[in-house]
Amino acid sequence: MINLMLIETKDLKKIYKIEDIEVPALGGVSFSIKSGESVSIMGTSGSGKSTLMHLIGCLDKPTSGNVKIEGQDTINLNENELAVLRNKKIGFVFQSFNLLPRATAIANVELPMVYSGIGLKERTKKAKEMLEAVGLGDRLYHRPTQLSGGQQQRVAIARALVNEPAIILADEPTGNLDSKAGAEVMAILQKLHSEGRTVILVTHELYVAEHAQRIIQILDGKIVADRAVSNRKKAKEILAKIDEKEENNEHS
Amino acid sequence: MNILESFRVAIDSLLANKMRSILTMLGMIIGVSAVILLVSIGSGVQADISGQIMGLGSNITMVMPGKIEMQPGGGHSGGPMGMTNKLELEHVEDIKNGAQHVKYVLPTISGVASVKYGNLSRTADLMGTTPEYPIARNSSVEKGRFFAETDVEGLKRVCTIGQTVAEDFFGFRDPIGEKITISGRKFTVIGVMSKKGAGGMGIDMDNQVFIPVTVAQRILGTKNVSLILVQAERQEDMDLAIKETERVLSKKLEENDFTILAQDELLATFQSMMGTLTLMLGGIAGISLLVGGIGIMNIMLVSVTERTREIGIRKAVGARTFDILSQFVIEAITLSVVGGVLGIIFGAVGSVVLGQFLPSSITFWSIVLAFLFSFAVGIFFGVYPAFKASKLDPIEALRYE
Repeated sequence: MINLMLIETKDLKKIYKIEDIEVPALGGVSFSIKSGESVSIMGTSGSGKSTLMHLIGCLDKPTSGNVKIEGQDTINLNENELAVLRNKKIGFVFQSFNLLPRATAIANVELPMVYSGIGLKERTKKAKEMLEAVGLGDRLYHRPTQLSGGQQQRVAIARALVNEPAIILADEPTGNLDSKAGAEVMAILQKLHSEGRTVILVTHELYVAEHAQRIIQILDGKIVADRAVSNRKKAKEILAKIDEKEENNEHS
Repeated sequence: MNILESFRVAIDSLLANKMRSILTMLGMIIGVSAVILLVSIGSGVQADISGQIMGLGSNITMVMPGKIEMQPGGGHSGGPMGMTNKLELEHVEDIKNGAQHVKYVLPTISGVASVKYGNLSRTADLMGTTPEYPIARNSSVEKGRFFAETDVEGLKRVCTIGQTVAEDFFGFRDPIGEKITISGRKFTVIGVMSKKGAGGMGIDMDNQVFIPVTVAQRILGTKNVSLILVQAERQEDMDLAIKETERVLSKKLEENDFTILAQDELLATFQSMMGTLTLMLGGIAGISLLVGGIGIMNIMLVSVTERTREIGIRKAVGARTFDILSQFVIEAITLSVVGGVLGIIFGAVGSVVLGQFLPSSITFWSIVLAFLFSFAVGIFFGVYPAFKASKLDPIEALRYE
């Protein structure tokens, strides 16, 4: 098969057990994502989209069904093999950034490379490049508390990219940001997609979801819609508009 | 992640919480230095007293009145107290004549006497013995002479005094020929012993007055001697000498009337006793090490809970179970080993300082043991919190606030 699917899920089910009461979170979800696609997984809170994200991200195991990453079954992998898979194939961007609070920006970006066994020198060099690529070349040794939300999220994106993963998995990446910082982050994610990376956005907002090419809509643990986005939002244009407005406000 | 990385991470997080790290280490520092200090004192005292016993000479044995039971494993029951002393000078003669392997036989009567010269007065150790004493006991006369056989037979009131007594009474003057009063009787000083220096436990070996044994018996109103020292020609003959002495004495005395105390036996008993004591001291100090270890476990548990989110992040970006486990175990080991090394330094310095006042000797094994123990404490008390950390569910951990 030439056109190998990057992610393939088959009848994915997840049931949480809370004190003997079974709570179904996902009730049989099947879809595929090709390499280089930009996809949003959209749903309200409690729809099961977070559960789906955890399963795609190999943070959790399904109750039944299977997730294939680059054609490889994940169902039989143990905890450590999943960790290696996450390390190599998946870059996470979280709503709450999830940076190590006591570590500098560069140390945070280095973290995935620490676990893939890359030497200190190469790590520092690569982390520096990545931070420069997200426009934080002058913030290398700042700690998260010394950075704005948008800057923190950009550090997180640099961290997600540093091991050159097949998938960027962004869970509400703009949820904790103001509209400008959000647009900046979305612009970076769209740029990454334009460079050929697979970007998966998990969000409850249609506005955010429409930054992708395709939306998979989840409701009550099932896919209710899987459609292409007709008029895709362009973060760069939005950003330009925001800048324009700010300038006007300053002049008036 | 390799071990070096784990170390880097561990040290980073220890430095991030300096005060807490230091307080946690304090438990180990106190524990380890207590072990080293107490074991040093224990073995110092042991070496000191052993030295004194050995100082008697390896070819010397003592015949004591009464029956003393030496027990294996230390200690003795019974003793000479309350028993009738049946050792007399004639037994000394018997041993001299009847035991071929015995070189010298010294009767001794020892006690404490008040000694006066003019209006000066002091308390000195009185030793009534025979002329062979200086040769047998490896001491020499510095000035004048030791008393002779004729002095013993003739009950002459003559004495040879130790350096301390001589200096105290006469200063730089020549004491020979001077008259001093011992227990109310006038004696002529005929010699001064060479300096022997302080023995262990602060006993002044030079604060002595030697008089003929017969005179001592007369003063004390007894015909007994308090101890007979038997010296063999060579160390190898010691066993034979003891057997001969026993055979000779058994002719006139009952089995219960005397005890031949071999020095090695005395030494062994004493050493095993002190060994037990040292071990006990070390054990008590070891308990504080244990407490220090529990302190480490406590802090590590708190640290794991506090850093749940960090663990989640690390797992999300690819940390395996072992990576997390080793990070926290190494953190605990670093705490305990750094604490241990500081404890060793403090303990060693403390032993040296204490050595000015007490016999103490730093033992190598106590340092090695303390180090290994602190390492083991780190592993033992670090593994559980680290295991807990490594088993955290990454999703739960990431959600943790």
